[in-house]
Amino acid sequence: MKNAIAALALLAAALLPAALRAEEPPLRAGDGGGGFGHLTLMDGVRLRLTGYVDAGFFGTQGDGTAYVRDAGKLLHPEYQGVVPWVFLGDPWGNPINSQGDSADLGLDRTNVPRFDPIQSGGHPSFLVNMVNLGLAASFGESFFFESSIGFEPRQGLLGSSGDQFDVDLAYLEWVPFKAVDLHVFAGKFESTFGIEYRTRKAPDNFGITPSLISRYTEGELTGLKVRGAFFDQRLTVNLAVSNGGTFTEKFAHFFNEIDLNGGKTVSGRVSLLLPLPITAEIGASGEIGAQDEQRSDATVQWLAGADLRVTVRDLTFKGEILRGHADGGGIDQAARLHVTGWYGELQYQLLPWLGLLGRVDRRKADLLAFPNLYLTDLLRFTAGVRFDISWNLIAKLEYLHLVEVTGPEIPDDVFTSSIIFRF
Amino acid sequence: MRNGWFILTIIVAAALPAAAAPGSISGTVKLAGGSGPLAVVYVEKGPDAATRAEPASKELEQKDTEFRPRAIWVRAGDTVHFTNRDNFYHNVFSPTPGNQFDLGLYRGGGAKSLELPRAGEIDVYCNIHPNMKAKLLVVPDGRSTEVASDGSYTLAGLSPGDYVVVAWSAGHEPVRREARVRAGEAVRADFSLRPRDASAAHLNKNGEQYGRYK
Repeated sequence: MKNAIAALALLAAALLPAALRAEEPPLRAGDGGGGFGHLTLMDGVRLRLTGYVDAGFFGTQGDGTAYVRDAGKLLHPEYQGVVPWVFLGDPWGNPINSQGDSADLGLDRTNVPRFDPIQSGGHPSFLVNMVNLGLAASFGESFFFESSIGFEPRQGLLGSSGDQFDVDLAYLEWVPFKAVDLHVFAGKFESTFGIEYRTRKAPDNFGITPSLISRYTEGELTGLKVRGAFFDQRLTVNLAVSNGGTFTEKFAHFFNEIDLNGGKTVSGRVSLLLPLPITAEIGASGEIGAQDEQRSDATVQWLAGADLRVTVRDLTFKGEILRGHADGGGIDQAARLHVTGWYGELQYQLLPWLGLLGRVDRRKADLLAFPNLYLTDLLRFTAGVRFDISWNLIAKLEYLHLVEVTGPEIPDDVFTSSIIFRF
Repeated sequence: MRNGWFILTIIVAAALPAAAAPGSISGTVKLAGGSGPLAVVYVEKGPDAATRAEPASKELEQKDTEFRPRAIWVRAGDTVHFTNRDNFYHNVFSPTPGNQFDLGLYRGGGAKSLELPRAGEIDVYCNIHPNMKAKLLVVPDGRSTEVASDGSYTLAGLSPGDYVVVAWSAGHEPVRREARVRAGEAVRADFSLRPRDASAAHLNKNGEQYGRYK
């Protein structure tokens, strides 16, 4: 009985809000406090290790896929004799984690090699979404290096492990002037398009899954970038020249680590923090260059978009709209794309430990990746909740309801969850 | 003999008030480019203060991703409570040499306290939100006053002697002036402060750029 009371007292003490517990003695300025911790290996170079682990559990309707084949082209007879296969829906419309991985990519009926990293077959499953390690180094106040590597334990096939790793960031940042907020980046760095790239990693994302258009905006760029903030940070300009664009389209129709062509991609964003008593930021982004995954400099892909972010107390709205195009064709039979899409997301931090999320997004696209044609007109509703257990530990739940606006309705709703430990 | 005592009494009576009579420094503080959130005039150097005030405390809130107010002043030895009134995490730190501190991360509803034993101007930031900035002025002792809305100030009750007086504003470069205070006299010292250059970005608590999410 005594043990039970003692345990209950301990539990109550642990659950009490910090403010109600005995007040901590004040720290003294000049004593340093708990920060300023670095690993120093060489004189003047400070190193810091960061990272996170993201594990989750998910379940899907149907067989876990979010698209179907238009067998016999009954719904689209206009493509009879034009392309061998027509698919309806969005293979990546039912993501289960922050990387946007689909629960299942379905059967490969076309014998085109592709990697299906999860292959849940519609069965609920636990999954380690990501183990991420980052190393940051700074030299003086002008030079900063950051790298980030993601490890993803995935489904293997015929004895191969299937596990992946991805160096998503590796850049040097140079700040040439003390009095001007100007940064020069070289290497592999964050996107310059829109605002969603800021929350592409699980600990930074309010919810779990990315928007339907994140596949066009979140890709890291390899090249050179300049970012400047002016007029008391009210005007920000981001400009980059890179191998390819910001696409991360998961069938790799629009992404190369090493450029296959000589034409580079120019991308940028201009944003304005409005002079209002609330935080309101509007931005316009664009990118144009030789299309990725093909050899011709004359085959072009482009993106144009606008974004808005408004924060009023504990409520944040963010939204983006974009339009994109890739010529496709040529000797490589490159993929052709026409896409429009948008999302609007509301985030409400109801309590210090409890946040609510609502999002609506839409993607309308036709993607011809010969011999496949994917026709998509998808509307998606997302509801989520997050628990900030501590700064280092976050738990999230999310439900995604997919509505195929045209074409057959597919049973492809998703429930997913995530628990993240960051350091 | 009686006359002798009478004269001595008059001399002592005349001399006593002169030795004890405090002086004052007063004047105006002109802030170029408009008023800042706070302007203070304080004694940086001078004869020892007659009395030492008990340590006090003030609050600096974190609300709507801002420090509120954006500038406060306290005396050396006072305590500042940093209260997080947002529903999300904040950090409070300062890289100011001699007054460096890091209160760590704490969630909404939490508060941390900081004792400030050393005088000086302290830059205060949040390690998560680069736009959160505040200035904390720690004055050496109680001989300080806020500048009134019409720009006037008075430092009263000063012992005679030589002083260094500072006019300080969060948005302006501080200005120092020397002043000699005589018993019972009011000395005038006017200040004109130029705006600070606030365009430069600061580093995070690790001495690094705030990161890629801009």
